[in-house]
Amino acid sequence: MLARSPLLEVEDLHVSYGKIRAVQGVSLAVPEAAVVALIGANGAGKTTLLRAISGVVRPRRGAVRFGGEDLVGLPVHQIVRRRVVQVPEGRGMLARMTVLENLRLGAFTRRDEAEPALERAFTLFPRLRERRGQLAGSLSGGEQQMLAIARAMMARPRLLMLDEPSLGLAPLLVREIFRTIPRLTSEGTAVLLVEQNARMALQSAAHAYVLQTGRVVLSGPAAELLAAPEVQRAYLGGV
Amino acid sequence: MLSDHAVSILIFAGIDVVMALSFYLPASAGQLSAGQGGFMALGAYTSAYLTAHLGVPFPLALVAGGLVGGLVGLAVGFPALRLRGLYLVLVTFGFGEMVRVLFLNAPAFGGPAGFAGIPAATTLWHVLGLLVVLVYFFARVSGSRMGRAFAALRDDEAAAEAMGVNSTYVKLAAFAAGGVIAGLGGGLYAHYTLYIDPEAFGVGRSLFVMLYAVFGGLASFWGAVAGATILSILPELLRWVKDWREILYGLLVLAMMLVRPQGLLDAALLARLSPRGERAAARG
Repeated sequence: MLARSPLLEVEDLHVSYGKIRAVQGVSLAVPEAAVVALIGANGAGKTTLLRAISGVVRPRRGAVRFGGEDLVGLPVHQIVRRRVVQVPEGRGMLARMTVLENLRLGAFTRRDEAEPALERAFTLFPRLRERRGQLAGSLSGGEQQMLAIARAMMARPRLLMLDEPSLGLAPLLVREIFRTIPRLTSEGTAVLLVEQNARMALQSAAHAYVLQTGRVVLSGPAAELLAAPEVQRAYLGGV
Repeated sequence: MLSDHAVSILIFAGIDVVMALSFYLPASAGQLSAGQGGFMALGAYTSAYLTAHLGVPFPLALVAGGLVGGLVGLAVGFPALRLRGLYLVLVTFGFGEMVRVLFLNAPAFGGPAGFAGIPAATTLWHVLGLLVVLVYFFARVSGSRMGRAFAALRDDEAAAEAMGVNSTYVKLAAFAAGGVIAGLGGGLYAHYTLYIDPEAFGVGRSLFVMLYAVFGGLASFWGAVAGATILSILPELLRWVKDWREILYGLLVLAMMLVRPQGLLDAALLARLSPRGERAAARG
């Protein structure tokens, strides 16, 4: 896997909000169909990094190469069309539309039949099938997170970016959500996972980066980071 | 057959439905316009000038009026890319006033004295024909990929973009299409009243158009159809109260909005009326 050139390559990325430098020279790589985790404390620049990749904010400097093409400067919808899809923090529910309509919108960029994709989404999260006629705003937090992931998968992304999927969910639900991640990669989707829940993230990922005040301070195979004393101390609540 | 009076009521009601639909289209993508009267004026004056002064056949002039409305709608759509909610209402209101003052100061179009001598051309069949086309168009769009993109944009712009919806394109298309519809409505109006002046398309017109759609309910285009039909025919039904007519009209509208702030046709009612209830229930 390391020999091939990665699907996503972020090189020396700098993002600022006015005078605040949120991301300062981050480089990272996501191989095809791999799970890569990005962990770090609140305000480390994780979400900003995702927003820069998906085109919501424009980086000040650096490159975001996807399949060899630089994405910097492309509008959001063009990036989605290249099958780079972000599940935003807070899930971005279309609250006044039904579950089914949310899912169909997920396939907005695709011209082919939506039915097989819908079937896959319902297999991934059977609970969504029961709720398909319900307004998305009336779902529980866990169901909304499921819908957000299923909706993003409707676009058959090559890269799926998950921003804090565990946010505000009970541990049991968090586990249920994380259990689906290997299923996503088995369909050929690479996952870039941003999490504060470092343990869950490191257990799901092959590779991980630790972000601190906008810089990568540590990276390596997830299993190694899980065992690293500095990670244990700072992010896993060890001694 | 219908009396001339009844036909005239139906033609004006039909044109009001056209105008309410012209407001509903951008509104269904979250773009509130208080300037539909301005687009109507452009369609009315353009088509009237073409038939009265240049001898252009009525259908052609009507289409030209729609096109001018659409082009200007596109231009008005650009500031809409940066503005939302009340700010957009103010800008579109300003646009409507601008058009009114423009025609007030254009001697070629009659200025404040108005534009007379427009040939009689609009019949009830023209109005009904346009309505059939529009209802078919709206019914097709509302269940389509584009219709979902409109609804998504109204619900949450960032989420819609994250799914690949080009919000710039959708907003401009919505304003342009709304402009075309209002322009067509203006052309039909001018060739029925045979005399137009800028005051007919002022802020009062724009607000009534908005009221029709909101009264009927923004959950579906049927709301605009129902709202405009009821509110344009209501004054005729209230003739018996004589001087109290407008007061009673206002009270009835007020009472209705207190009881059903979501409008006459809300998502729940549409679901009950529709054979495919699931989809209709989703718009809200």
